[in-house]
Amino acid sequence: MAHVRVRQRTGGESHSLAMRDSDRDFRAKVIVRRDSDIKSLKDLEGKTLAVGTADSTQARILPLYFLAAQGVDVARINVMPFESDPGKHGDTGSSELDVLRAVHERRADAGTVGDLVWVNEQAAGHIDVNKVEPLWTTPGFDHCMFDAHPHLAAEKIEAFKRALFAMRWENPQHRRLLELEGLREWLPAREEGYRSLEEALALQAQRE
Amino acid sequence: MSNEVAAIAVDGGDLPLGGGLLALVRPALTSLDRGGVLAVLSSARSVSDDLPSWCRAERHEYLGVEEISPGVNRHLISRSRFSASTAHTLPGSLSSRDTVALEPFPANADPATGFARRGAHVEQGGPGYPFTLNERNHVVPPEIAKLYDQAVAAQWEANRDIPWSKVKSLPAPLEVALAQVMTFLAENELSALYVPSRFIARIHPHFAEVAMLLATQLADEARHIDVFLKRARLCQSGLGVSSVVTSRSLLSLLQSDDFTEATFLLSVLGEGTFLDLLSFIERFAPDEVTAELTRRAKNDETRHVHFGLAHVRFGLANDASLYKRLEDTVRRRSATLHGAGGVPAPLQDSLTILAAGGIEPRSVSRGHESYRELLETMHLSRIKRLQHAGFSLEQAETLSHLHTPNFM
Repeated sequence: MAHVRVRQRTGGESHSLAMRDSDRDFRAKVIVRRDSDIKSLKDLEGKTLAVGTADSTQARILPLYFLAAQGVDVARINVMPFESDPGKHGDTGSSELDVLRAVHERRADAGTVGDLVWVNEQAAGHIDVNKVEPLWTTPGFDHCMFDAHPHLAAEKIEAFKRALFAMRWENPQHRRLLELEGLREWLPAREEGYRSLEEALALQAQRE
Repeated sequence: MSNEVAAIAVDGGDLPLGGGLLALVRPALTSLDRGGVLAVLSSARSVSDDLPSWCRAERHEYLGVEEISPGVNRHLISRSRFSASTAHTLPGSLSSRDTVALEPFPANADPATGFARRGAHVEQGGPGYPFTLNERNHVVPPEIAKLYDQAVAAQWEANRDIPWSKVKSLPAPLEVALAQVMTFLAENELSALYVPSRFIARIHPHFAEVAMLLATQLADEARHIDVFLKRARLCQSGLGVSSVVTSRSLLSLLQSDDFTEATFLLSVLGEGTFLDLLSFIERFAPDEVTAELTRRAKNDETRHVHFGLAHVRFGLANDASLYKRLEDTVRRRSATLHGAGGVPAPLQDSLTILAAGGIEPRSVSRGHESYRELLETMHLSRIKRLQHAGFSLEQAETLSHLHTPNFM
C-alpha cells in the first residue's frame, strides 16, 4: 500500500528498486466455517466476516474490493475488524491470526486472510480442517516494494540494488537476514501487480 | 504442462493441505533432485488453490493442474532449488565398517555442516561450528571402524561380570598393598577419562566414529574407576595415598592441548605402560576377584593402546614433522616432572609386597626382583610400541627413558 501511495505522491517519478520473491502473486482467501450455511459469496451478506487491520492489503482492503467486484453487497456484511497491527500494512500477520481464531471459535462465520498465512498455518498444524475450509480465492496481486525518492542519485540506487541482488540464501549470514525479512531472494521491481490495489484505494478515497 | 514428466506421484485422496496432505507431499519432494517433478493426485476442492499458495511460500514451482477423471486433479510441482534433497540415499547397514564403506570420510570436513551426518543432505546456509579437528589425516586412522566395532562388542558390566562374592579378607600387609595399588589405578584412570573428553567436542562430526570410539573409552575408564575403587574399599585399610608425583604427571597430561600429542602421551606411552602394570597385578593378584577385574581392565586398555598407535602411526605417515613435535612434547613433560622423584614410593612398596605375597624377607626379596623386572619390561615394551608407531630404535629408546615415572 505504501508503494501505491509513494507512486501517487511522486506523480509516478519514484524509483522502484526491488521486491521480495514473497511479495509477488499474493492472493487473499475467504475462509468459512464448515457448519455455516455459506455456500457462495452472496451468502456472506448478512453474515459476520472477520477481517484484518485497516491497512492490511491481503486481509482487508483487497478481499473486500474483490468481493464487491464479484457482485457482493459488502455494506450488507457484518464486518468484524481486528486492528491488531496498524501501521504494518498487514506485514506482521497478527491480525490474520486473529481472523482465523475468530472463525475457529465461531465468533465469526467467515474471515479473510492472505494465502501465505493460510497455508503456513495449515503447514504448522494450526488449522482444524474439520471446522474451517476455504470458500474462495481472490485474483493475484503484488504486495511490497523498495521505493526511492525521485531525487536519489543513480549511483546510490545502483549500489543499493547490487547489495540486495548479491544476497544468497546459501550464505549463512545472508540467510539469517533473508529469513527475518521473509524471502529467499530479491527480485526486480514490477508494477503490474499493483493495479487492483491502486483501484481499491482510489475507490476508498472516493467514499471518504 | 503435458510435456512435464513427473518422476513420482502421490495420491492425496480428499486430504486438505492442512489435513495431512503435506505429510505426503513434503517427503516426496525431498526425495527428488532439484528441479525434479512431483505429481499430486487430489480430489479435495481446496487443494487446487492451496497447493499453488503453498508452493509459493516454499518456493517450489507449481507447474499446473489437469483433471484426470471426474473430480480428481493431477497437480504438478517442480522441487525448489532452495530445499535440501535426499535423492540417492544409500541403504543403511549395521556395522560401523559397513557404514564407513557407504559413507567414506571426507579429506576435509566443512564446519558449516554442524552435526549433520556425512551422507545427510545438508540444507545450505547453516551456521558455522567451532570444530577444529576437521582434517581426516589428523583425526581418523583407517582402522577406526574396526576398532569401534570391537570396542562396542567388548563392553562388560562391573557388577555382573566380576565375582564379587568371592572376595576374601587377606593378611593385613596385603590388604594395605592392594588398597594402595587400586587407589593408584583409579586416580590414573580418572585422568584417562578426562583427557580424551577434552577433544571430543573439537572433532568434526563427519569423523564421529573417532568421537564414538573415545566415548567407549570413557565408558571403559568409568567402569575401571568403579571396580578399582570397589576392590580398594573391600580392603580393611581403606584407600591409599595419592602422591604428588602422580598429581604432577597427570596434570601435565591434562594440559596437553593437541589431540595427537595428548593421544600419544596418554594411550601410546601411558596406557601402553599400564598394560605391563596390569599384567603384573593380575599375575600376583592375591585373589580371583582382583585377577578378574585386572584382566578385564587390561583387555580394555589394549584397545585404547591400539587406537593410540593407529592414530599416531597414521599421523606420522602423513606428516613427518610430527616426529619432532612428539619428541618435544615428551621432553617438555619430562622437564616439568624433573626432580619430582621416581615411581611413587607407596606404589613401589605395594607392588613389591603384592609380588612377594607377604612380608617374609625372602619373599620380599623375590617381590623386589619382580618389581625391577616389571620396570625393565615396561621400558622394552615401550620401545617396541614406539617402533611400531613409526619411530627409529634410537628415538624410541630416548623417548622411553624420558617417560614419566608415574607410568601414566
